[in-house]
Amino acid sequence: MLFIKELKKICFSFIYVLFIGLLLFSWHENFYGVTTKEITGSQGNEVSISSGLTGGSILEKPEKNKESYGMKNKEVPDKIMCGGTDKLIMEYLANSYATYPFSYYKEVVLNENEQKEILNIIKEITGLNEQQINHLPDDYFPAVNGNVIHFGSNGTQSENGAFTFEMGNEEQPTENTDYTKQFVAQVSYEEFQELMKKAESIIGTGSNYSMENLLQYYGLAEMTYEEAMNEYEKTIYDDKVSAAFARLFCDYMTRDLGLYPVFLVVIFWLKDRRNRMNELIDCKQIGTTKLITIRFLAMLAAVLLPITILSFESLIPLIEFSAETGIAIDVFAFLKYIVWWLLPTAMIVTSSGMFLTILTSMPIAILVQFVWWFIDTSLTALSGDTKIFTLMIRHNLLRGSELIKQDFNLICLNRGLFVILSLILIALSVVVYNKKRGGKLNYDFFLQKHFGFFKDRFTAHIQK
Amino acid sequence: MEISIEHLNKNYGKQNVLKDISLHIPIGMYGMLGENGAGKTTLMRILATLSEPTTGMVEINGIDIKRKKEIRKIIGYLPQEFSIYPNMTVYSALDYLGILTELPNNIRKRRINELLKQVNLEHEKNKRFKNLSGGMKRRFGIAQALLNDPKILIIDEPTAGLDPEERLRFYNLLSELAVERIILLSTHIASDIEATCSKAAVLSSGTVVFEGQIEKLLQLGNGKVYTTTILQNELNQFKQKYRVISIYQNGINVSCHFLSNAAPKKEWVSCQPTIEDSYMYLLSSFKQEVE
Repeated sequence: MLFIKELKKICFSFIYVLFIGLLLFSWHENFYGVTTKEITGSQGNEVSISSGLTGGSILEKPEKNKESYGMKNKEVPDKIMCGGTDKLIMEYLANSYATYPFSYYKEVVLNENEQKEILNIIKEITGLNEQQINHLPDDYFPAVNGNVIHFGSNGTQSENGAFTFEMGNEEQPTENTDYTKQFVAQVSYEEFQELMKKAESIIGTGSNYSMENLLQYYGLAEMTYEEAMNEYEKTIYDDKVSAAFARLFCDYMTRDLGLYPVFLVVIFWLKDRRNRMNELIDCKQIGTTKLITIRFLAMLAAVLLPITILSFESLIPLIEFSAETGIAIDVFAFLKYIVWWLLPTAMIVTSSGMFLTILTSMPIAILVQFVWWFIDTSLTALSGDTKIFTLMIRHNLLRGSELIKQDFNLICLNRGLFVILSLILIALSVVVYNKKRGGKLNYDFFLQKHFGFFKDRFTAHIQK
Repeated sequence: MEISIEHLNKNYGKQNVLKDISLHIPIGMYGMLGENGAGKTTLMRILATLSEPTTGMVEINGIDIKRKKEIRKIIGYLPQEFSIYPNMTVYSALDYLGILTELPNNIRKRRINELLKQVNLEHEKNKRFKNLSGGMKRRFGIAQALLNDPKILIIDEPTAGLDPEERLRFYNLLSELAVERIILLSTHIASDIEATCSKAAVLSSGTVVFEGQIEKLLQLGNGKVYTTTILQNELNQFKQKYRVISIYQNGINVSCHFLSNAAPKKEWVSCQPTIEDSYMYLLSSFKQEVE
């Protein structure tokens, strides 16, 4: 009964409406319609952007002798060296280097000496002199070179203005190729990697020249029929279709769950004090453990309920797809992934927010959570980059179940750790609340005395 | 049934807020009188398990105050300052607090309806709390404190901000409730105590300066309260010599109601002391002693 009351209290609050609004916006922008597009794409219609890049709908069975089966990530040294050097020359000539130190863009402009060092790296890779580097032939690099596109002779423009480029069929350099006319690396792949490390140290963290980025941008190769068939079978049999969508859905939702619940938690816990209701509650018979646990569970339910509902937008079309095609799907995949991936994140955000708010009676948890979320977002790659303390498990792909298999134990450990940590934080919240309820640990005077200045300044600023 | 307090001290840092308090509070309405800052709320909060004594012993009905869970079962508390989530209705707020009181479902619903009737809020049960008047909010406060049918009702400054009519209605309600239970009423308005309580204690600067029957408190002012008429320009000088309780302007003259320990002058008229007079006399005597 108390659970229902607390849940209602949360769900009928203004901040919860905001929470739902943000969640809906994020879901609509990122995931809404992906499933339907993949299903219709398998019937020959337009597919989602992510599938478009990888050769078509993940639900479309590859046919033999097809022109292309899409691209896949593969460490092809020639392609990586070609793409990396292309990008480096472009940035060197403009003296404008893109970096993403905390996932956010930052332009780096180098001084004369640093530019010379970059020039030396380029010279070493290409075997060209400064004059030649400054005046490269138009077709020195392929028209489409990973994420670099040259609007040169290889690109054709249609009547409606769209450019068409042929990918992957450029002539591969041979021993007889003139390295001044077409890119031919003059260093080994190992030497190239060392030179890229040097470039990264000159330009700064998060440049385009880390091996991770080079692999991601230029390590692309055409899939064969067998490889495409293998990917298809993984989706149909290993993932039972729905797990692939559940992972992508959870990937988008986890970014929201890593931050937004803390606003709900802080405002919810400060509500008693702000409404001068804390003494009425504290002198009632209810045990502290029961009160804290029920409130925590109500918060968790309020946070996960809309996410579970949103998952039906994907699950229902998949059930229909299964009925039409006879391909078996895992109906509980979304639920499993919500519990496995999202629940521990929601638990740790909710419990740490609750603990800090009960402890300090101040909204400090918002700041702490924001810093944590920001660092975690910045340090975690989009897929296959789970570490022991990763707050939000990322898998920004419909395919790639092998990445999950590969990190399975680590993900389990990570999720288990957060569940244990949140249980510890709940227990600590009970202890602190119980002490405060009995008149101990009331250092609000201390906080007001030492930090009230900031609050007063802020209030005065708002009132102005 | 009794509240027993022995040598109770409460410190906040270096400040001694309650000093060696010893009281025995029996069934019935018991008044706790004292000026603002005397330590009444601190004492009330200790009895309501929201604060802990620094030293000393407090027992309610033989149960040590440290056994908070048991104490919370037998007390009801109306704090001096309280509110409810503003958008909650009267009924749902009582229902919520009833759940926190751990009343079983069937008993809770019945109890809430009884209490709403008792405090005359039946017709307001669907009103949002923020739309209630000050008097209604106080009556709501009493209803929530009575949810568990407590043996001890602790009420801190209940009439603050109420108009005289609401105050009277409120005290009538308390008198009805004072059967078979202890009602501990804290206030700084002496007449409130006189109207409702048979016994009272007076606190000043954390010390009990009086404890006993109301009649005994009234008698303290006997032969100490006078009225006299003086010129307006003599008032300041008069105030420096005597403790003036009230003045009435009468043209160029001023009629003063005041306290004095000194032998009466012929122009002074001796008065029957009110509870306010006796209370003021008690406080000024205590302060003189301390000084």
